[in-house]
Amino acid sequence: MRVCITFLFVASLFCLNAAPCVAQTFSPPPLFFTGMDGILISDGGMEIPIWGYGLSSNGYITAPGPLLEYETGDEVNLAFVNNSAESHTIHLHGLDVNQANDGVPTTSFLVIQDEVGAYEFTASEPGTFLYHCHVTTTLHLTMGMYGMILVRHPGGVLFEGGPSYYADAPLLFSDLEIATNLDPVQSYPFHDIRPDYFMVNGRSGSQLETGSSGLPGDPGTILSCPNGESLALRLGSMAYTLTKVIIPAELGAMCYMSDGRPVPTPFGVEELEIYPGERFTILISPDAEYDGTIEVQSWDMVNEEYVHSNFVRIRDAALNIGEPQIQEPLSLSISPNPSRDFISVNSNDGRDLADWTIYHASGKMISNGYANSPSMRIDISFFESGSYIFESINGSQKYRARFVR
Amino acid sequence: MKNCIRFALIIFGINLNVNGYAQDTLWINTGDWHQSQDTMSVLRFNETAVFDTSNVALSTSADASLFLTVINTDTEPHAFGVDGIWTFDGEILPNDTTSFEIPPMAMGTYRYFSSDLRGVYLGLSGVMKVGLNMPNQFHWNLADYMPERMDSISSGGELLDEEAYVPRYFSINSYTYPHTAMDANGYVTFALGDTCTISIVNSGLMDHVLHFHGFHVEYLSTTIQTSRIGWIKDTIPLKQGEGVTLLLIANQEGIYPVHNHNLIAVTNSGFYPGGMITLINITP
Repeated sequence: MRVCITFLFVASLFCLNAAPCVAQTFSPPPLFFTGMDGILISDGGMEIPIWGYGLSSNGYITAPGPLLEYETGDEVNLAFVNNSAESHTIHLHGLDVNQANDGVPTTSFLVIQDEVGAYEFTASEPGTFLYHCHVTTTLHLTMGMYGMILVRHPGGVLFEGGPSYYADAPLLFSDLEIATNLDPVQSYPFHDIRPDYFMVNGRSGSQLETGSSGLPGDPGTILSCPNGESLALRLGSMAYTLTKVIIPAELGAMCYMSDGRPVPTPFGVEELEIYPGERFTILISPDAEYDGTIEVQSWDMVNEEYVHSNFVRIRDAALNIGEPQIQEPLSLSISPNPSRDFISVNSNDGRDLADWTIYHASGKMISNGYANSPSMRIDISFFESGSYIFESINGSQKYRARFVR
Repeated sequence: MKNCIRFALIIFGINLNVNGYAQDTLWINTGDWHQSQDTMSVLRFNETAVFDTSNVALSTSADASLFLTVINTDTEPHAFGVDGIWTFDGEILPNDTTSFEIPPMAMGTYRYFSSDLRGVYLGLSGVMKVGLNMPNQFHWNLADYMPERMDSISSGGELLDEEAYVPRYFSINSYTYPHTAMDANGYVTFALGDTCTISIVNSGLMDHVLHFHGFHVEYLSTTIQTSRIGWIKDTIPLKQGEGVTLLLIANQEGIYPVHNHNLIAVTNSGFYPGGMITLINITP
């Protein structure tokens, strides 16, 4: 059993003190934060405001938030700092945590502005789970405050005595009503929210292949698997619609788990309904040279009408066109931070900063250049007030840090 | 009346098992249901002639017919059936009394209801529990309401199918949160280490999906998604008309919500929190 500590962090206005890892068996996960100033770039290029969770190493929030990964038996201390304008929580959906850690404001606790919240639980069961804010839930979820949790079982099997598999493929289905996100303050009443933008892992339409979400390093979602191996589709819904997943018969899909528990009798799947909040774990085994798609349909739950389809591409890894791999970026030193006029950036490892780019927290590129030294000074006096990400790439190594003007 | 058994003696509101059968009596009553700024005319199956806002839950054994007497105090005739199981092939006329025999059913939870237009839109639909013997039993009758349609139908108007269905209220046993905590049948409370069954029917006009905080539950029965019997889950979809029996084991104490995870349904006339939220309270 491991003990892991995750820290949710809201903004770099706070000094980041990495929470201690009680057991030294592995490094703690990256630090987290929440915020309400994010932008999701739609498939058509529209900037949609989002609220959400993010990794402090990335410096921006996303919808969905970062994938949280644990191992069966892990004792987790999940903490986050909230300096956004509203109170937030984290509900650990399906993990059956006790009342104190349930993330419901009336029965657990609120994390108000500028305060830290910590949730303690044991990841006692392997499976696919979710997390989301439980404050004014109807609004905060459509704004993007959710993510997926994977609890893996040791030994490369889905669960004790379960089938082995090659790799996980988390697919989180969600949606939003654009008008609500554009004006959340005036979004009441909530009973008539009808989503009109539909996502898989926060991407839609062509973004699922090209990765053109506007976020730095977005790789898209193309799932590849070596012939003869099984890929574990970790399917979950945070949508306001019914999701129907259509899986080609030649993938030989078998459902082994739902809601973090094995199903008594695994069954073949060609069409699967996933209601909001449900999760399923399905193994697929693409044949040699397989290149096809899984269709993800969204259906209006009130009037039972089909509204949209997204497609997730599955390819035999031998075709060598799998999902690009991102190298985990190293941290930079930025000072002073916050700053109004200038920042000094240092790569910390003596390597040149090389190609550098500054992004607004929304993902918009603000400035870029090239540096033949490990440190540099940058004029930010003309930047608007807000959160920014400095990112540089030297060969295969990426560096990233967040600053506030 | 053909295919109907009339009883000389009506046993008011009592479910008896006598010589291998049970008998019960229902009244179809009309009344008003008040929510936020709306007052809706509704129909209910009650166990007396006095209107109550909740449809009464019927309970019978699995190996016996149920002889049911229904007294219709409404101004319109009504159909009667057990969803997917059995349908009375006549009508229960206004201000009339009709009796019939419902054949034995397998253990589980079923929706009994009136399938005519007034019955469907004005909420004439309830929980029928069959063969459930556990000491701790609760039931949730889920429903959704669009006041504008209800007004039209209760006043004798036509259903305008071309208009989108936009429900504004979502209830459990005719209670909306936070009032669900006052419902003895729906507010689940019992002791740590004990077990209970929860019988759920979807009487609404759309599918619903309930998420349990703090617990997984086991499907003991379901009338539609039968392949799920034996599954252990925390999120339970209920299709229109579906009846589900769940087993809950109280393995930790505390207060935990259960709510619709189609989050438009945790509102009252659009305002959060409300609607389809109730609580599980496990005592030490």
